[in-house]
Amino acid sequence: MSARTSDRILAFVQETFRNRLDPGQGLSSSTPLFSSQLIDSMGLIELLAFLEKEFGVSLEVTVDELTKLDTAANLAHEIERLQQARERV
Amino acid sequence: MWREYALTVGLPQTNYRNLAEAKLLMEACNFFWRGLGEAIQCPVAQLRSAQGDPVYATIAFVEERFPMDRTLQTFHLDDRLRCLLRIRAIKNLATECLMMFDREDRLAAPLDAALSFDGAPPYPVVRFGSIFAAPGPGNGRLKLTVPANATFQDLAALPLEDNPIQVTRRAQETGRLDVIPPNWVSLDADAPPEVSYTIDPDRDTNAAGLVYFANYIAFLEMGERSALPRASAWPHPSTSADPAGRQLLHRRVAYFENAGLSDRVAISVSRFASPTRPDQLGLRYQLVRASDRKLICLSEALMTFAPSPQLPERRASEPHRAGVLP
Repeated sequence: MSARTSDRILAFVQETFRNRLDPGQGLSSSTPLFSSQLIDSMGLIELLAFLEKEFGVSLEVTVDELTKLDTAANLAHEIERLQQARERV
Repeated sequence: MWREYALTVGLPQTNYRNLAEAKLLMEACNFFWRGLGEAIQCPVAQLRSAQGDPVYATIAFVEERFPMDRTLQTFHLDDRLRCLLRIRAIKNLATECLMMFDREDRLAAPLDAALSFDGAPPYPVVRFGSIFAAPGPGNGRLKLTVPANATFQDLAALPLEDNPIQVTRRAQETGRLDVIPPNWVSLDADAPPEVSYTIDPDRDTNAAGLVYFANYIAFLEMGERSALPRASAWPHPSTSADPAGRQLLHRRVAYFENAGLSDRVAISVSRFASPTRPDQLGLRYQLVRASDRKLICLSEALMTFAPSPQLPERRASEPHRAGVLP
């Protein structure tokens, strides 16, 4: 997993959802994003729009997928997997 | 794909100013849920998560536009309306409904002809943005969940970047809904006062046990009626106009959270206008939940006080339609 992909996701989350973070709360690549309700239903749409625009990938949204993709690290891993699959086609 | 529904304007859809805004929204949203349920082959009320928990389709955004000659006040009792709906979806996360409507004698053309226009539709338009969620504790943040027992593939795709949910998200950040022209000037010398309303659980809620989105219009109108006659920082005809003559041209509502059943809400309304448009008034409404002073709803509206060209004068001989028998 590219740290750069994870960093770009974290930067977006930090900027876009800054009003939802507790004062002094930091984000790491292992911070739960959905299960913690940092990103809710409305926020997920904004996140998906960013991921599609920034990385050119479309994520499947099922409960199982959201559980697996709950951190920036897991999101980055999935994005890179999708990008590689697209390049092989 | 467009779906069509019929609505005859009856007393339940009206108030003393003819077709009533909140009641129109209730009817329109009912059509939305019917159409959505038909498209996804599951009634919206029966949507469930993978764990079998209820999934609610919550309204996050409403927009209404009325051409000058087709304002709410121009629709009367017994008018038969033709309502055309288009529904789009972002995967199984969110949906949008666009409803155009008019009297069937004015929207009688084949659908293709009715939809062939350049620029803004010549008909009234109602637009909803809805997001699937589970109720969080105390009507707070929407808990992320997605329906697992319905398929959304037959619905046209709603763009991720340009959709009503994004408008609500932006409004949450900026406090603006871009209905009021940016160069309009405030009419208020001081911060607007608040009007308080205590939620009536028997009247204001729906079957999900939540304050129904359309009832927020009534709360906004309370604030509106209080704001209109307030003294203004500079002369404007709206301060002396009969509030009954106001006509809505454009409104957007962004819903951030909901009020509790035993809560109070406080509505404050700021006024904006342009010296070159004395016939129009811009209003920005902020609705705050009294229990924690959190902004839960934001609205902006453009009103006119000019008589609609279609608004007929009541004739002296016309019988008064009473809603209650003496």
